[in-house]
Amino acid sequence: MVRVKMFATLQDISGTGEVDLKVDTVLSALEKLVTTFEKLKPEIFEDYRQRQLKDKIKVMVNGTNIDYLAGLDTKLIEGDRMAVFPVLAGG
Amino acid sequence: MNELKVSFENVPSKWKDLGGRALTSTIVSEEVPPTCHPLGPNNKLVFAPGIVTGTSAPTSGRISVGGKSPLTGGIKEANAGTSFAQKLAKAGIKAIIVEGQRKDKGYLLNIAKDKAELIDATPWSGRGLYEAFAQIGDKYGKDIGICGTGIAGELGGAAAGIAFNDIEGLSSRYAGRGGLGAVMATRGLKFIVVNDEGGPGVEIHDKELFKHGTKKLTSALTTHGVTKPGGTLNTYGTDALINVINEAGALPHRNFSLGYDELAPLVSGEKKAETIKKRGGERPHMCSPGCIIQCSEVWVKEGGKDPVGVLEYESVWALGPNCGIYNLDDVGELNRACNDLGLDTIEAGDTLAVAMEGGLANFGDGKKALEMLEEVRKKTPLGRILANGTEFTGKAFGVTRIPTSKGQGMPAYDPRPIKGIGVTYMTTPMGADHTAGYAIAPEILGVGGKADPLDPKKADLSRGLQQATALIDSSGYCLFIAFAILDIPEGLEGMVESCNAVLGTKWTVSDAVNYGAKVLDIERKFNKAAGLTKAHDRPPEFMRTEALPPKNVVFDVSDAELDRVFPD
Ligand code: SF4
Repeated sequence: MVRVKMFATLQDISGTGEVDLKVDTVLSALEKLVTTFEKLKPEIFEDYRQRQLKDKIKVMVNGTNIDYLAGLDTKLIEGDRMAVFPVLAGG
Repeated sequence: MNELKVSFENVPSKWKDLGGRALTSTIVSEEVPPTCHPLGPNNKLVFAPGIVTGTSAPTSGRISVGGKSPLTGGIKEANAGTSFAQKLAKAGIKAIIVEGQRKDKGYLLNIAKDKAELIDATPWSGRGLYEAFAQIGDKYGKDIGICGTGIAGELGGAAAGIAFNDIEGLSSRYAGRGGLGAVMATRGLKFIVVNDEGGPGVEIHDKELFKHGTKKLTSALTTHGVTKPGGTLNTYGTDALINVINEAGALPHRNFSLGYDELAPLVSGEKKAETIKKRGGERPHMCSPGCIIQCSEVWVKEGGKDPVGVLEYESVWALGPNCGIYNLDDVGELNRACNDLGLDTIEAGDTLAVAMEGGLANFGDGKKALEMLEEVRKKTPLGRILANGTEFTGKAFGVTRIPTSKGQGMPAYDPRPIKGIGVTYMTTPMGADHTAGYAIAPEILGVGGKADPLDPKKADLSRGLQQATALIDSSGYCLFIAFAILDIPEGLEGMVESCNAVLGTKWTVSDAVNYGAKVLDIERKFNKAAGLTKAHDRPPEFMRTEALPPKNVVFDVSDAELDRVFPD
């Protein structure tokens, strides 16, 4: 199982902070997420058919942004931690 | 202050185009001997609202405070969002320069239409700032701006900040960093009250351009996902960062010994917003009138009682995870104590964590942490040590993991897994300060471009951000407009146009960035003359040798790269 955590608005919209999924890539995890929580689809994907993520959606696997891994094709294995954030800032 | 004299002077023409940080840093560099003792008679304290502060420009209620810092030994600028800034500007005052030293007691500077006088502040000295601000409000009227230094400042503590009123009149908005509260108290000045009734307001040279520029900026702020109404700053406040920085393995826990802990969500912005909703505090909220981002809030105790004011991300982190504390009520009370004592929350949290490592309390013991802060109120020897900040406390208790740069405690991002923010911590003239060049935006948040946090080549990124920040800190706009204007060029143009409209200048965007670069030059020149060298632009040794779990990385930005930020 891969633990997928959602934060900020994604947490409010899905009504949960985390789910455990049986998935093997970041893309399959996101697909599973938006089919389980339909309302997340426009929050995460700009164009779902093209599997294009929204600008500034951040996905991390074990603390590393997937931009610096293999993007949506990043592999997930048992015990990995994946986190999804909407656009946010502070400081 | 020696003679308790207050006088008005016309603004010299050479300072005409300066405001906020540009003005405070210029006055300090021209009038303060760089080698003076920061708490001695030759230091000065300068207050200046920003260029557009006091106008109808959105999100622009900022005040800059400058002086020589007792914490870093260099020049210091700290700023805050407060109606005090707007009232000072509307009263027609471009800057207050506090000079000399009075040791008999503390004084209150009362500024109102055509008058400024120093009054005995004994009734409000030695007291908590919440009570003092409330009593001063009762005496001088509710519609005033108040600023003050607390007990920590009275002790000459280098962790003492300067408090300003929020919209409710609470002492919760801070020009916190660098010990300027101690500079204020050692001048003999305890409070300033400003009433702008009948004041001339801020002159705008080109009203059409002002309207045009502020419209463009407003449009950027209300469009960008971070700054728009219902956006993340508005909904969760700055504390929304707890989860993202923790997930990135860069949230310092237990005195910078760990970068991730699964307990962090317990003190997150999400958790806090939910709790405020249940308890009946306020969120969103603005720190000063006219802010359209409204990232602020009023945190209250269970039952909606005893408002503290805002619990910012940096404060929650410093007094929470950095001390192993994962309980918002403990954090709220520690933040209340800091606001009341006049302590910078970041420095206080770093200090408590170092004290915990030194054996004064166990990590996670919120009650003991609060007792330690109460030592400051009692003015005990331990309280005096703690009021002097992280480095001083670390030395007093034999700790070697002291997370400081130029003597100032590091904020809420461990620089080992996020190199760019580390480059800013080490090289800014201010000592460790995230706001001086917020590399987190591109490195973690994907705002204003994208940069790999682990790439150690960050000199250019940090320099550019430091220049842009020096400009924004001078303009009077809140730094949080940066999230929108870094992504939306029309917003940046609008900001520059609004400054041109007020000043009657014709800056292009690149002129404006050069203005920021000049401010940095002035500050660095002061630091050099004060004895700060390249050796002060280096990380604490443990960050080079101790790998931070879970990423297990050290700070591997080379000395040459650090020196490349400001090559001369
Ligand atoms: S964005 Fe937040 S800190 Fe900035 S002016 Fe508005 S309320 Fe104050």
